[in-house]
Amino acid sequence: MTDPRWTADEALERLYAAHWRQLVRLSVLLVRDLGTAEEVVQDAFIAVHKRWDKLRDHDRALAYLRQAVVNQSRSTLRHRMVVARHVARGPDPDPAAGAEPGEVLDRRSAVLEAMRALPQRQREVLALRYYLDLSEAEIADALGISRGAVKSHASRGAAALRELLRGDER
Amino acid sequence: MSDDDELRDLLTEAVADVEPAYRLDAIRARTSRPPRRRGWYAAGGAILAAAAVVTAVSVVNDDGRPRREAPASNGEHAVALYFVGDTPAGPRLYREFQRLPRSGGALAALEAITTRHGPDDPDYTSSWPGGSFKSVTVRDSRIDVELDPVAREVSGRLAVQQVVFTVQAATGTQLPVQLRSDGAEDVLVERAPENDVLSLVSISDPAEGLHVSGTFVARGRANSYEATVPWEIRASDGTVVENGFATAVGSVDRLYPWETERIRVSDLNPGTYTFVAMTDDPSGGEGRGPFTDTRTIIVD
Repeated sequence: MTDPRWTADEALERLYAAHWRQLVRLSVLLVRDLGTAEEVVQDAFIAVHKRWDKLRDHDRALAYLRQAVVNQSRSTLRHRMVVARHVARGPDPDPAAGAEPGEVLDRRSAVLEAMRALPQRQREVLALRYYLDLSEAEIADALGISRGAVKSHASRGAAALRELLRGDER
Repeated sequence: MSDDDELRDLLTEAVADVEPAYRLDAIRARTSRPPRRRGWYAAGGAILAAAAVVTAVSVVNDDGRPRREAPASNGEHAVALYFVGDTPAGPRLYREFQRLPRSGGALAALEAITTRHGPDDPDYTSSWPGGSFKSVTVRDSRIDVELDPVAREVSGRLAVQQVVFTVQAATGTQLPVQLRSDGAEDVLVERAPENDVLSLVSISDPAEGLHVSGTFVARGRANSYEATVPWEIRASDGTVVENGFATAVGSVDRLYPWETERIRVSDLNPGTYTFVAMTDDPSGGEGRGPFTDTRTIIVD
């Protein structure tokens, strides 16, 4: 699907058009805060632009973007824990938008809160597996861990997330 | 529902309403190295749009001073928008260029065709309410346009083609457009033949309300008999004070560009006039009559 004659600028615009929103959403699952997620993904796009001469391929570039988003989300979180950064903008929908039943809104923020409560690796594996629908091999590649580790983080993470959400209903 | 599906749904739903801000320009600002290449989107429609900007600027006083501000780097560009207007064949689409912030992308072009923003030419209309369009995503084989529920009341082929023509111009593509809306099935729409949905003549320049003096050149697109595009300048009482014709570069299968010679207005009294471009009507009025497009011009 990639035209090998794409320049870095052209690739950037194509990748942006196709993946910007989904990658920001992925990052929101990891860091919760939309403003932070946008920063993280923006940096990932700048990084992929810089490396385009080496990547030269849409799929490789997308894999690189994902990896950059996950890694950067992780280090942002660490940083945030240190500075206790004020969260200026959350992903919570504008209540004035109103049309959504309250139940859905509650469930959304409950899921985001629960994700945040998970250990970092579990959170990453769940986001890549269930939000991006990546295979175990792709997740292993993106996170630089073994497929066995992916499997165990996935099953523990899924169980923990369910448990957190159940606890939330009480 | 399997456990996996449940988690998939929960995570997807949790971020389904997250609409990230537009950051492409911010990213570009940090990746550009002069000399910069144009982005892929600059092909096609955007190049036409650029030509229209140059035209708007080429309207000069007799002393050569430009009458309009040069389109310097003020972050705006001319965008081709399509609006609905009457023709002898019923309502059709007319193209109008408007200056929009460069950062808005195709979504800004779509927002500009809604009634919240609307056409500069009072002869045109749109049935899309403000906020109708939530996102535009260019994919490999199509363009996805996500509709807001406020767009639900809008119907009709012409309204849909208005979106197709506008978003294709804004993205410099002719990809089919997938209309998506919560609670409704996706609809994939191909661009209709120009002869079926466009007014057979439209004016790109002058823009509505342009101040002119000395001379000016008018341009547009038409599909007219023998490629002939008659034009007139009418005074406010309807009297024709100047007329002539331009020749389009083609005809029959679609609309082709036309451009007049320099039209002299220095002999006209200052005031408001109407510039009219027409298709030729070989029937001499027996048929449905000519298509026309008009622009108000102000002679200083």
